[in-house]
Amino acid sequence: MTEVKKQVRKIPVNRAIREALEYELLHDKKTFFMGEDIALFGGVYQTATGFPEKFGPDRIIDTPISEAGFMAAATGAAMSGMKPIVELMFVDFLGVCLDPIYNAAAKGAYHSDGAQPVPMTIITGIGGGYSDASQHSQTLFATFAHLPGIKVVVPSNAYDAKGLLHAAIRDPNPVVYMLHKRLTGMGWFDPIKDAAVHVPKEDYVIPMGEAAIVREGRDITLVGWGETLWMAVRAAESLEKDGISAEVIDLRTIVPLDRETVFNSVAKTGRLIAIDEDYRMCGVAGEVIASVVEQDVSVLKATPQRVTFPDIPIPYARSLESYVRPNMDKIVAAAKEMF
Amino acid sequence: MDIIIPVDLWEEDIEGTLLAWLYEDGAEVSEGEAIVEIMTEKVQNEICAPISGKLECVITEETQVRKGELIARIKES
Repeated sequence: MTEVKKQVRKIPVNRAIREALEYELLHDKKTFFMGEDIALFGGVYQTATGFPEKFGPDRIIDTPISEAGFMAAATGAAMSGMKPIVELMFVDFLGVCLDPIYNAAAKGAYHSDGAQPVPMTIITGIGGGYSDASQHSQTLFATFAHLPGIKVVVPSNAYDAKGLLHAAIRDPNPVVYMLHKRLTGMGWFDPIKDAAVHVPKEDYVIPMGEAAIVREGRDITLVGWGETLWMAVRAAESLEKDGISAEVIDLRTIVPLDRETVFNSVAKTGRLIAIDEDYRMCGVAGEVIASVVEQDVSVLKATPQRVTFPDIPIPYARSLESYVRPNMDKIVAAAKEMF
Repeated sequence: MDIIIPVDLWEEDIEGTLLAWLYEDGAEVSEGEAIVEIMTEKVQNEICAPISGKLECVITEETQVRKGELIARIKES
């Protein structure tokens, strides 16, 4: 269970990531960190501040704006025995560098009968909610989740961010590590302060594929991940005032998906809402619902619901964007319809 | 010891926002550890504890701050 309470040291997600990166770079000489604005600027999420001085230019590498080039280079390096950590600044830029990821990295172990694993970690900024328009606000969870051979992690808080990044870097498979911009702790992304929590200074691993029950409840299960986890937490607090006891699950990892934790919760509550910041069509929210429906529909007391982003480009205007995004009020309204 | 925002923490002659205390008020902090983040434009600047001791926060999060301003005290333990 994730500790989401304030303790003595509480650090934002980007610092938790920096600590995990620093540890791995220090202890595993096969790792290196590469991407746009990583070295000289320290990363746009300030995850590499001070790294060039500590690890040198061979391991902390600024790339040109050439995602196709450096993603292919990272894939090749991983196939050659290195453990590259590469930053795709915004997931929206995936389109120009998808081929090395899904055709080479994701399938490398399969193509070689396990002889050539591809241990690379792709850190990528996701999400909207701060008025950055259609090409800088997407999450694209389902796009990655749909492609076999890639693990996909989406931390919702600094504690998970550190433990999951250690797991991602040490995993022999390609892992896409999705960092929600509003959870980084950076001021200009309209930060969600709850994501800054107590983080131990030592290294620790949170295994991929294990969801967390962040709040226990009896009447309804709310499933979120990344930013939507916090919408679910707020909705649960609101529902409690109306006498509805909501259980909140943080998926933490999309691939592998912890279907068991979701099913067991819904078997108890009988009601399910999945909250997804990604487009609705063929999305992870639908997959979460399928996890229950395919196993045993008889546990359901009401039709499961999705609260998602609709199938439209993300508006730039703040008023329009906030109108179409998932939020606490939409979750609460959907929940009340189920009783 | 007074914790004052150094005049060279950022270059421009502008105010910053005290974004986040990395330790709670009253926590024991160690010399050299980052204790606070102050945002200017799109950059987060940090201030490290000059000595070890008990942190007493003077300024709350989300407050506009200027260079030279007293934001905390550390009582040597």
